[in-house]
This record gives sequence, C-alpha cells and structure tokens, in this order.
Amino acid sequence: MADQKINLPDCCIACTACITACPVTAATQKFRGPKLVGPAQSRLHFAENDTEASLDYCSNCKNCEIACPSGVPISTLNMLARAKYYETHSHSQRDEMMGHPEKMAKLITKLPFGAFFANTGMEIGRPMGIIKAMGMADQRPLPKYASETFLSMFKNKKQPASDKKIVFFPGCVINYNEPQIGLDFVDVMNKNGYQVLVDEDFVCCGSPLITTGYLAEAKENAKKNTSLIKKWVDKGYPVLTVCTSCSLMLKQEYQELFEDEIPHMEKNAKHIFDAAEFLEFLYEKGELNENFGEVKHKFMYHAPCHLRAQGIGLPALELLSLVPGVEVTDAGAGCCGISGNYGYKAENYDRSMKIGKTLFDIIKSSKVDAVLTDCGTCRAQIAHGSNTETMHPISILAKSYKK
Amino acid sequence: MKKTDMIVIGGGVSGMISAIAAAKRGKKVTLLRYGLGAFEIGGGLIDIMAYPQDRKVCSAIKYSMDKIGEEHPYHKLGLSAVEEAIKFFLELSKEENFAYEGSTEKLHWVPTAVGTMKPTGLYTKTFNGQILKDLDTIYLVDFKGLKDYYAKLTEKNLRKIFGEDKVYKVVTVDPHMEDAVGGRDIMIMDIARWLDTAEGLAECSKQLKQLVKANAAIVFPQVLGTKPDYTVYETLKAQLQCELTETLSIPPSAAGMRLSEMLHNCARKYGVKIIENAKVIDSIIKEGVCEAVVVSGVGKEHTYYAEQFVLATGGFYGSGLEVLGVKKIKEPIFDLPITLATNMDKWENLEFFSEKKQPFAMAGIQVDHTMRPMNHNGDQVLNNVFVVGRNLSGYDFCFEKSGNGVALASAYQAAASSVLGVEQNG
Repeated sequence: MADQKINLPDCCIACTACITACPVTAATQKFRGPKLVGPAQSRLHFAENDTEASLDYCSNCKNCEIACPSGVPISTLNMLARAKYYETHSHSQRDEMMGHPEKMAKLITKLPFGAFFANTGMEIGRPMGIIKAMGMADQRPLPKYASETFLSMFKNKKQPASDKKIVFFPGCVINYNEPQIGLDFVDVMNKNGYQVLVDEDFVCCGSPLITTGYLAEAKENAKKNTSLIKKWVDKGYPVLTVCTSCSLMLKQEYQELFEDEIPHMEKNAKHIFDAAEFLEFLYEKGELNENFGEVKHKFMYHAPCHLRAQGIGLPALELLSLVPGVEVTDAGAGCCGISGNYGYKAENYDRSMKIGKTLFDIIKSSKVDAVLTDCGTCRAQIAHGSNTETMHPISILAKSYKK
Repeated sequence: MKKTDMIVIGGGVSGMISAIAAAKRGKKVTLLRYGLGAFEIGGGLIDIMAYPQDRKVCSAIKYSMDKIGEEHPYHKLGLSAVEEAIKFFLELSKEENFAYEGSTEKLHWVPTAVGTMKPTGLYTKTFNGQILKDLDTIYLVDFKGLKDYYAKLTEKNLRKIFGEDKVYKVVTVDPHMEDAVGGRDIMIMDIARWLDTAEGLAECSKQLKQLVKANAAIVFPQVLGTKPDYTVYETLKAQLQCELTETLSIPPSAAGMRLSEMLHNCARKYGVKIIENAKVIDSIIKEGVCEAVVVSGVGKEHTYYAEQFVLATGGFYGSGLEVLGVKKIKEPIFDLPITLATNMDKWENLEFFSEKKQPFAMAGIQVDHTMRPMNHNGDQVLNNVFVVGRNLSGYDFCFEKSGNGVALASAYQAAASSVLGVEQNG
C-alpha cells in the first residue's frame, strides 16, 4: 500500500494521461478534468472555503487511476473532496435516496408485497412526472426489486457439505435486485467443491454512499464489514463477491479512504476475491472443475471499469473461453457511462448515454445473444442503451455445469 | 502454475511493440501495464536520431552510426536491426490503415506550435513541413477559445524560416464550444475530438472554405482527429484543395492518442492479453532464470509465470529506474546492474540548453546485441529477460531526439531474440 496512500497529489507529474482517459472529460467541456479537479485542486483546498463545483461531474469510474503512471488515486481524492463539501452543506432528498439503496430496499422488502408495490409505483410514478421531480432520470427504468431477497432464498438452498468453505458477500444488487445470480454463484462454487457461507450481518459496501458524499456513514459500514470479514479470514475462509464495485471497495477503497482509521483492512484485502478472480486462480493451479457442458451462444463481454481498476485482467473472459460452444468477444469499448448511481441522476442522464454510445454501437452491430458483465449497474445501462439482454458471466458458468 | 510464453512489463511504445512483435510470431503474450505510458506526453512521431553527438551535427542514423559511441543501443543493435524494426513498424501501420512514412536515411522536418522546425524519423502524413517550403501561401488555423496555441506566434517564427516572400494569414474557426465557458479550457484534444465527429468535421470544413483559397499550405494545431486513421486529414485536404500539416504541441498529444490506439488495436488483433493497473514490484529468480514476476495488485499480490520476460518500464519518469541519490540508481523489479555514462565525472550538465548530452540521462541497463542485460564485466545476467526502451543505458533520448526510435528498435530485437532463444533452447 506504500504507494497507494491517499496523500499523494504531489506524485502527479501532470503528464495528462488521465485527461485523455476520462470518459466524462470526453463527454463534456463543463468538467475541468481529472488532473485539475483531483491532484491540482486538492492542493488548493486550504485556500477556498467552498469546494470546486465541477466535482459533481466526476463519476468515480476510476479510468483516471487506471491511466495514471504515478499511482495517484485521483478519483478517490475527488470523493474525499466531495465528502468535505457535504460536511458543511446539506444533501438533496434525491441524494439521500440514491446514497442509501440498502436502506430503501430494506424498507420496501419488509412490507408485504413491498417489491411488487415499489416496482409498480415506479412505473406509475414515471408518467406522472414523480421520478423526474425527484431529480432522477425518468428516461431509464429504475432497478426492479426481486420478490424475494437472496438472503431469504439462500436459506432454502441445499448445498453439499464440504470442508472447503468460502464466504459470500452478496451486495445490494444481488440481494435485492438480482438474487438468481447469487444462487448461480452458489451452484458454481458447489461444483468446485466449495460450500458457500453467507454472513447476514454484512451491510452495503458503501460505494453509493461514497459517490454521494456520505463519508461518515460509509465509514460505519466499512468498520462493520471489516470486523465481520476479519472473523472469517481468521477462520481461513476467503470472502468472495460477484459485484466488481463491491470488491473494489472492500479490497482497495476502504484502505484509501480510511487508512489508519480502521484496523485489519490491509490483511483482509489479501483474502477478498472477485468470484471470477478466485476461479481463475483455481484454474491456474489446475484445481478448477473443467467439466463444462456446451452452451451454444454468441456473447459480448464488457469489462466494468471497477474490475479493470483491480489489476487482475479480465478473469471472467478467461473462464468463459473454457466453456465449449461459447463464442465471446471483448467489447473493449471503455466505460458504459452508468458509474453506479451517477447515470440515474436526472442531470447526468444525457452525459451517461453519450459516454456509453461507443459501447452501445458496438453491441448493436454485433448481433450477439447477450452481453455478459460482472457489474449490476453496467448490466442495467447496457440493456437500456443497446436494447440487448445482459447477464452475469457466473450465470453462464452455472448453466454450463448443469449440462 | 500455468505459464505463458512471454510477459511484457510496461505498456508504453517499447512494451506494446515487443508484445505485438512476439504475438505476431505466434507467442502467447501477457502485457502487464501500470498507467498509459508516455504516448500522451511523448507524442505520436517516431524520432530515430537527429543529434548523434552535439548540436553541431544534425544527421539521420544511417550516416551517424560511427558518431554515437559503443554504449549506444543502436550500436549494440547494428544498423540492419534498426532498419528491420522500422520496416516492421511501417508494415504494421500500413496494415492498420494508418501508414507511417520515413527511413533511417533522411530526417523529416515538422513544424512546432511555436513555429520552429523539428527533425523526426517516422511520421504520419499529417505532419509535413515540406509544404511550407513548396507553397507560396501559408494559412495558420486558430480555433476560437483554444488554449496555449498562438497562431500569430507560429506565423512570426515561420516567417523567419521560410521568408517574407510568402503570404501568411491567420484564420480562425469557431468550434462552438459554449460548454467551455466557465468549464474547462479548450485543449487540442477537445478540438481533435470535435473533428472526429462527422458534424464537427463538416462544420470546420465549411468555415475554412470561406477563409482559405485553394493550392495553399494550411498549418493546423495538432487537431486532425484522435483516431488512428486519415479521415479528417483526407476530408479537409480534398474539400479545401490545399496541402495540410499539423504542428507539434504540448500534451496531451492527439498524435500520441492515435499511436496508442493503433498499437492497442494491433495488440488485440494478435491476442496480446493486457492486464491494466498491474504494477510489477518483484521477480522470482532461480539459478539465473526468471520464473515469474509479482504484481502488487489491489489488496493482494499476484504472481505471473512465463518462459520469457521483457522489461519495458521506462526511465526516471516511468519509474522503471528509481533515483536513490546522485549516481545511485535502482532498477526495482530485477535489481539489474545499472551502467552510468562512460567517464562520467559529473552527474549533470547544468546548462539548460546545453550543447552536450546529459550524463544522468545516459544511465540505465547495459545489454548485449540480443537485448539481454549484462553486468559490468560484460557477462549476461539473466538469460530469459530482455530490456528495451528507456530502461537502456548509453543514450540521451531527449538530446538526440531518439526516444521512440530506440524503443521501437530494441523492442523488435527483444521479440526476435526471445523467439530465437526458445528455438535454441528447445
């Protein structure tokens, strides 16, 4: 971590690589760009009482950090500056909602038929202009709540017992919106001889809190998750996620944001894996169950920015290439434009779609059966922007093992 | 653990070229990169050699091999290896429909943003100083709101070089970038992206048609697109019936973005696996053979195994070489022996615009003709590691104007040696 500490704006040598890589900079002239807003601005905060307004344009997609040859955590500097701003300014009601998807989901799923009414309500609210009035983009569908949470479904899931155990961190998208992906993950791990445990006390990783400037709350979540993860790590169990924003937050952003404030983060990080990263590791050791059945489909793979930032390549793409019948190409078109809750905000919608346009065009002209990607909001954005079905790569592996 | 054929450490010009050259010969290549390399700061042209010794002699490499000294990477490679690498690159760019031109025989002069002329080696046809000599009317295009580009200054200096007999005229195009008001200053990259769009290109052409007459030379800032193709250049040239040239400018360089994308497209085409944000911090060496390298990674380390390794991590700027103190330099991954400039009594040359190469800039790793690292006795250090680009000792890329040329030639040789090496061992 020595070179990833947060106090590194002076490591910026102003080479401008981040400017060329920033998708928001490409989409709007209003954004001053990562170099100026991140490292340059962070040296000048002492001189200003108020925070640079263009901070709002940064989507925390991390392409600046991927581009930086000097290891400056540019977008994290932006998120810290954003949090600082909100220490003295109040949040909008919209940000209150969007920063707390877990709180919202908990409220809804506790009510009888809550998911049904919430989903219906969103559809009714759209033509009535309620969505827009709340400051959310009404041009795109909001994520639908599943009728049953992953945690509830998992309780009824039968698994073969095994000495080899991993702990699953489901995250909000899997738990509340796409629980089937979580079940597919459990199947894949079972096929590889692992029993999956879930810790019901895990809370939201904090990613939406950070991007909306709720740093103190995110820290509470980080504390809670870190102490729970430590407990499992001490038992020798790795912790896996199937959401690349969750895994980036748990592995790296916690350490950047709360360095020296929360114990055990660094040690934990060594045992936190993206699911495909873990499976690829098994493959390299010759321990992966390669009894894959044929899945005859043509797919495109989209690498989420938060996966690319993890420095592990594209493990899901490697695994998919092992499945007979699967024809898969890497879109290689950069950011899809959604960046978690960024593209759901009314003022960001057009920009978000502009950023994703290159990707959407490639998908539309490819005539693939579906687009595979490891991130929940990427899936929503791609389905909306390219009108193509989207799936998590783990679901293809699960399907293949069943054949 | 599973092994790949070759791991290239570094994703700048030398890393990308060695990865592509090896992959094109059928090798399974993984490229570990940390940051985008020096494309945006170094630009998109391939300088080969202009000043072999001092500022008095300006000569192409073909005629200056005897002046560069025995320590120089070109001397190790030999002229024919340099020429082979250039041939490879020219063919590669042609395959990608973004043909570069140039040779070891002739310097090609291109205008800079401030109206001086700079010698280079391999170039895209968008950089063409010759037209300023050949044509009688020179238009200098400025863009409304464009920061750090002063067409009047360019004109003033070009007049000094090409004489007062020609007609010089500054014309201004309005890119209608209203968003920039109160936002970001308009950069060359922004104008180039505007011209990437069909609407922007049509609008620019429409405005220029009102401003320029046919058969003239038009000098642009470096804005003729960010994509590795000639669409913007060909369209404007045909519609305006003029000859065009771009100028060299401050970063971020649009030409660098084009070269970067072209090499990425090639790498993709030949199946190079690129791992981004992967900082290599260590190597695993057993009995003089490198088995693997270790990436610090996010949260945890990752180990990558291969038969062969190429070190392309750059110099002081790219942290391929770390300065610990005066004359104390470390190569952090393999801890390879560092060679300082011969007879280096001084570490630096304090004159800013000096007539001599900078001693500190000559420091780096000494290699044999195969690009394998050597110690001070001239013995090979690691048999399956090759060193390329700014990691090498014996040249001052900045002074000589040889940066991308050495990167290209050494990278191509490393790929060739590694392929041969495997054949010899097998």
